[in-house]
Amino acid sequence: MEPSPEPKRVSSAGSRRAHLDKVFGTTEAAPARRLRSAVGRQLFEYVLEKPSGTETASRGRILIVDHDRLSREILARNLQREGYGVEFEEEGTRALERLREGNFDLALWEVELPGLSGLEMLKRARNDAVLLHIPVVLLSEVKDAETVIRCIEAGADDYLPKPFNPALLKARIRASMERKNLRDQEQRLLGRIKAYQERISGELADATTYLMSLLPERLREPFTTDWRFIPSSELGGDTFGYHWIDEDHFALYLLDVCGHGVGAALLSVTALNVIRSHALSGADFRNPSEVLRAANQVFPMERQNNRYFTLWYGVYRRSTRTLTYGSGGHPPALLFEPGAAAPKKLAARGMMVGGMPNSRYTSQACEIAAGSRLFLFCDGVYEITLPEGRMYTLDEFAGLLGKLPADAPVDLDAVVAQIYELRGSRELEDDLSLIAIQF
Amino acid sequence: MELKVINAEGPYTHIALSGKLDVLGVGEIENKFIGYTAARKKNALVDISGVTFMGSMGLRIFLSAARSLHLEKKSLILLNPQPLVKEVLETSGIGDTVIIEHDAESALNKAKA
Repeated sequence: MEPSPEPKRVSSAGSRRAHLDKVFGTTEAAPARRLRSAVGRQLFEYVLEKPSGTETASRGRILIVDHDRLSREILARNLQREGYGVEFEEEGTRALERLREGNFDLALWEVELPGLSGLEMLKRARNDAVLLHIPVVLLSEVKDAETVIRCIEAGADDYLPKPFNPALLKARIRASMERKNLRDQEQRLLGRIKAYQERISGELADATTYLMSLLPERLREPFTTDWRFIPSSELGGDTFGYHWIDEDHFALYLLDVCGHGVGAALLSVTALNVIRSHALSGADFRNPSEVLRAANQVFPMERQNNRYFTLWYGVYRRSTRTLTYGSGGHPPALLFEPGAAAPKKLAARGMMVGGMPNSRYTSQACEIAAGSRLFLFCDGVYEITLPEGRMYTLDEFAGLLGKLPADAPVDLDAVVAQIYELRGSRELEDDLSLIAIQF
Repeated sequence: MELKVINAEGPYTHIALSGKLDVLGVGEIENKFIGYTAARKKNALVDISGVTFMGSMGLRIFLSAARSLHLEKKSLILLNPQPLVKEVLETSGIGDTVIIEHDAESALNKAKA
């Protein structure tokens, strides 16, 4: 911190008297003026005494902006005596630069400055991100209420009329400093919260990148696949995949952990990796009911923070064109066969995975005709509250899929756009996962 | 979401739910629901005719209560679900653990059996 300049003593009695009159008032009648001058002189002597304490800025650093040298020196003495560090400026533009450069806790400035006025300085300071939070106390010989109101409206923290009362000055500076300290504390807390939010956002972005990296590549042969995944929050509770178990068996699956967000995503990623890597002891991954039974044993909800998941798991056997599938509480997949009026709902009996120990699961099977389309999805694609208040239904969603042109590739973007339109918003209540396979 | 207590002091607890059993709705009644079902260790009859939507979190509180009651050899009975809610319950497979009925008397008979 720069040392505070030593205020100079006023040399001549006449000049001292003139300054005294200016600072402590000049308009009274002679007796009153004499009395006031006497009091003022004592006060003047008092304020020009070297402070008994130190001139350090232990209580804060203040910039005084006043073109009247004696006035600012008297102010300085008062404030230094209170333990504040004080610096000076005479002109507004330079004062704003000093404030921007230095680490000031408060500024005291004259309203009637030559050049840039005190009010104009205030407007500039309040539109400057660096200066915005520095408290400003305005000083003026002008006493009219309109000036005071203009100062407060322009963002002054306080206003002191000249001639000032030293006790009032100290009290108001102290109050402004306390407000500044509180504001600084608030800013420090906000800074910490912001830093924390940025860290969490970065970690969530990393986690989302990882989650997305687990999703499968689109296939072009021997059939085509496409998918859309739109989590309702940063991380979703849905996930899905497909992979070749061997040259003849193709596994496809979609799981939906109850809830969404980080807790749900952790379980969904764990379960996905277990399925992708065939890490369910004793399960034949060509047999859906075995996969579901084994997953139910591995992920009991009491050991998964009371979370369960639904799972649709199917295996397409290329050599026989058959699809075997099972479900753990998951909505049916929809199979659109060429020429059929309505889709087949591929549902199978079975409890949500992890819901109850020793739950029983069944496998179902169907043939897949050439040209068929299979859609696998979570309930988020059709559990939509329509503007009229009723819920959209699975059958209506099936009708929507049925309207997709049969002679063109499946356009999932059109389906998602329709879902947004039905919702009347691009904000989702639940994760949206949708896989299409064109055989 | 609203939970109305019809009779909590008889041989079985009788309550009614109405509203949307989504994340928000579940948050509003979960503790109270568990308090009137799982914690009472007697059959619980829950009229869900006023439930208009059943999300996965709604299924979770039913499942949690049913599991606790199951340990006491008691049952959770869900009465009069609306068609879409019934479809969700059936799809979830929760019917293996809870009794879903449209008639209270036959549901209670099933619970005693």
